[in-house]
Amino acid sequence: VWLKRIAVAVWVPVAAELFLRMLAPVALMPRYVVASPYGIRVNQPSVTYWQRTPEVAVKLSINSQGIRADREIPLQKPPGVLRIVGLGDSFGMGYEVALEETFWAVAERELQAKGVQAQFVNLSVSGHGTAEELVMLRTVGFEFQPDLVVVAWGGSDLEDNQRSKLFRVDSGRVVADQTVYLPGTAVQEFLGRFSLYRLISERCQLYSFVRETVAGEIKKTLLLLRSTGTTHQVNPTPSAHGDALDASQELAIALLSEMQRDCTARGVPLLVLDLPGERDGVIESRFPDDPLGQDFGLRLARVDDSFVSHLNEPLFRRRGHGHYTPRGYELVGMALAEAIQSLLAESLQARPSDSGPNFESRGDLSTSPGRSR
Amino acid sequence: MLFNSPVFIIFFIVVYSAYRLLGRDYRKQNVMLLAASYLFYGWWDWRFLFLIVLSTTLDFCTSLILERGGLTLRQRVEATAAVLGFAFSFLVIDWRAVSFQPTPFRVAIDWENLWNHSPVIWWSIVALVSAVAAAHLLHAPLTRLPVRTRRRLALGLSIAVNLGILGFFKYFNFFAESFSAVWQTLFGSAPSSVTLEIILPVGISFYTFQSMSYTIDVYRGDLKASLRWHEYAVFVSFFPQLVAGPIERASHLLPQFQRPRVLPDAPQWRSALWLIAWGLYKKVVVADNMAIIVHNAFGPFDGSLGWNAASIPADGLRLMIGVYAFAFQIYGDFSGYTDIARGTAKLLGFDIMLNFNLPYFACSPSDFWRRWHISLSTWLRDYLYISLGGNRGTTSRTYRNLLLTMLLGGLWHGASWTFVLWGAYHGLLLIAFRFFGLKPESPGKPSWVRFSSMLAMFHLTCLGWLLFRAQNLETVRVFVTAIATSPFGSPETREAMEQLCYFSFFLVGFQFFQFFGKTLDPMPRLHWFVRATVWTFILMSILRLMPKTAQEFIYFAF
Repeated sequence: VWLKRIAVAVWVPVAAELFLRMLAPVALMPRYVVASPYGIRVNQPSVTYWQRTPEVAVKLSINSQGIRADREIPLQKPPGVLRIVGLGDSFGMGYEVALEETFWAVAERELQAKGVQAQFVNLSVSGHGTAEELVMLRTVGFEFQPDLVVVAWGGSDLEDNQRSKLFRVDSGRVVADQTVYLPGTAVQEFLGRFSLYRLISERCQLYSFVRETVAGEIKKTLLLLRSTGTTHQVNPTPSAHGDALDASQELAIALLSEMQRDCTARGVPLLVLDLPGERDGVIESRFPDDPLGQDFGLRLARVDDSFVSHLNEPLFRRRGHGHYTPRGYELVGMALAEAIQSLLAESLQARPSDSGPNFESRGDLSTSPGRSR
Repeated sequence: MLFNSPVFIIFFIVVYSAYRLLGRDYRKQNVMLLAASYLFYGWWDWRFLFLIVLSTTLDFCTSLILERGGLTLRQRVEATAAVLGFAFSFLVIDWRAVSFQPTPFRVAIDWENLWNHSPVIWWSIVALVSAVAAAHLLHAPLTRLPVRTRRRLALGLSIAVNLGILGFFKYFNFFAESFSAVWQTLFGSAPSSVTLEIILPVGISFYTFQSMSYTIDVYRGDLKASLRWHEYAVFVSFFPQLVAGPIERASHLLPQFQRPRVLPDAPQWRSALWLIAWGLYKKVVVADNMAIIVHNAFGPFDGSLGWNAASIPADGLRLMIGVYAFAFQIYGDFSGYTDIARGTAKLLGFDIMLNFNLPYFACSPSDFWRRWHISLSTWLRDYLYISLGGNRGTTSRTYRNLLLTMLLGGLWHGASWTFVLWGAYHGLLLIAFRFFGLKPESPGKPSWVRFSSMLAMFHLTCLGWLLFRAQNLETVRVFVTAIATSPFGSPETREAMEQLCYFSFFLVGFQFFQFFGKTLDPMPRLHWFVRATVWTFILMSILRLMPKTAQEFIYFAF
């Protein structure tokens, strides 16, 4: 009997792995994130790993600064370069595409083709929401002496911000709440020391499936416990925008406004890149609508119209984790480059005597709302 | 609360733990199961709990009047307390005025809106209190009536009220609209609006039929009336089969509430868990994924979404695959529900009747109805077909009885002419097979005759499903025309075919295995290695292939 039980215990995971490989493959998306001294997750420095989905195999190389890049990036900005710090989540990291296909790389090439010596510093980390991006900007982003900060904003930020509970809204302003949000990082760091674990996480479909399922359930539970403004709420948080926004939208806008204040204080403009998503075949932006029609005083670059006009092309990965295809990233990159160029043009108009694309008038720009499509 | 939702898993774990803690005190277990069943039902919409209690109490009282001539004081107090208590709790109080926040836990009551302000509700309460008072006053005179008169009066009251409730909630708008259409045809102008905004209480057809069968059985002397309100109430509302059947017979289920249950041993546990897993597989893997193919085929014709009625799609094959997919969807959905219901009940020590027995292996319409929704077909046979005279009269009367039974069976599914047509179609099939004396399922027939009959019957059933699924007759016309005149494919056809095969191959294979093995539970016969592989396949399929959003069971709407 015991021999039979042991045989079953061995056979069942093997059969499950075979089931996944033969009938319903899952995407192998190992995540190498570690705890940072400032209480949020960052990319594990100096690692290289592969993402394998039924559609694509992509190599991700993280440099010693925890940035997905093929080189080290000095903190000191080289002269004559327009340095742009990018913040985002897995879309910002360029999941499911090669480094040169990320929208940052596309935008960099587009700008360089137009004579702008742009250099992107991509500080995106998978799983980050606006709250973690604010911490990232304050602790790391400004050290890179940016001329412009771009936040790649996606619909999942609404839930991620509530889940992290790093900030809350009090009388319309952002205030710090919890100081640490490191879900599962300690376990992952411990396991990551073992090469067998790394092999399993990069090769085993069953492990990947179980991890994603469990993580998904934990995320849902965390959101349920930490969210406010749901239908169960007794007294909704008073909103500065009346009833137009729910609690998650209120928090997201407050965080972006806080980022803008931080940037303005340093004379750096902030651009919010609104990444479109897809639901039931419909392209949609989950960025809240400003009842006053002023995008909450933020400089917003939207891509949804561009996606809608290219609906006949594959823009999203269907059999992976739903990130963009290279074409999708390309459209975003082109829209981003266009938005940056229009910022530059406005900058030159404000200071016609200035030469070179260096955002000398950035203080003015950072407070002038507008929308680029 | 759906069987395929995490909330149900938590609910069942709590109920099962409480059930075990109560040991062998079956009366306390009954009370706990009753509370759990009402919570299960109220999770969907607590306002309709009162309807179940009303139907339960009425049949509890009428059956006692039928059998014993009246109720004891204690029984009257129990019944009165139940009806008025539930009316106060779920009609007078509007629970929407109470809200809570999970973290930090807070409960807030909007006192102003706590009492229902609807005049309809208050008039209903007045009517109810008056009816209860009248019932108490009339109880003594009623007991003095001649037995035959009293029994007929009690049965008539039970059937009239049950069918009245069912008719109002399920069919009022249907008949009002049909009346309006006929009026307009005859007199040229539509009468003023007579339809109401009525919500269909989930499972109303199931529990009403179950409750009615009890009263009829007591009337016929086939069953002893239950003496305890809560015992009868838990039979009517037993949560595993409350909202989508099987429509249990009191003679089978009620006695199980009247004695201590034997909890399952290890093989029964395995069998119960297999039923639950297999049911979940049929629901979330087969039915919910087939729903996508079905929606792609039928969706453009549902309602008026800008579809041009004059155009017939050029790829009839795709529409045909859509119909096949619906055959798998409705089977997976409904039989999956039944299997989960039977499995969960088995874990609690109850035996719930079989509702499906490999229906697509039927060789003839009568064989099909012996295998499909067995609890409804036997209900219709025992309480309608036989009451109409069955096959005791002339041939034409038998045909009339068959047609009438199937028409009402169709109408049971919902208030729509397509359901009536579906019922009529099956009635005509039964008549045609009877007329030509076709009985391919009878023993001694060559296997090729049986196999070709199965294939033919499956396609006849699919044609019925087209009538069942289509939202209007125009859709039926388009499907039939497209399949008959342009049976060609398209890139979407291939995709639909691949999906159909991918999500149904194991179900089909396993059912062949069940059919040839002549058992619905072949698992214990399998080698342990094969069993472990099948279990792994089923569990992995449920976890991996389940669509992201849980779909409601189709039969909840009936």
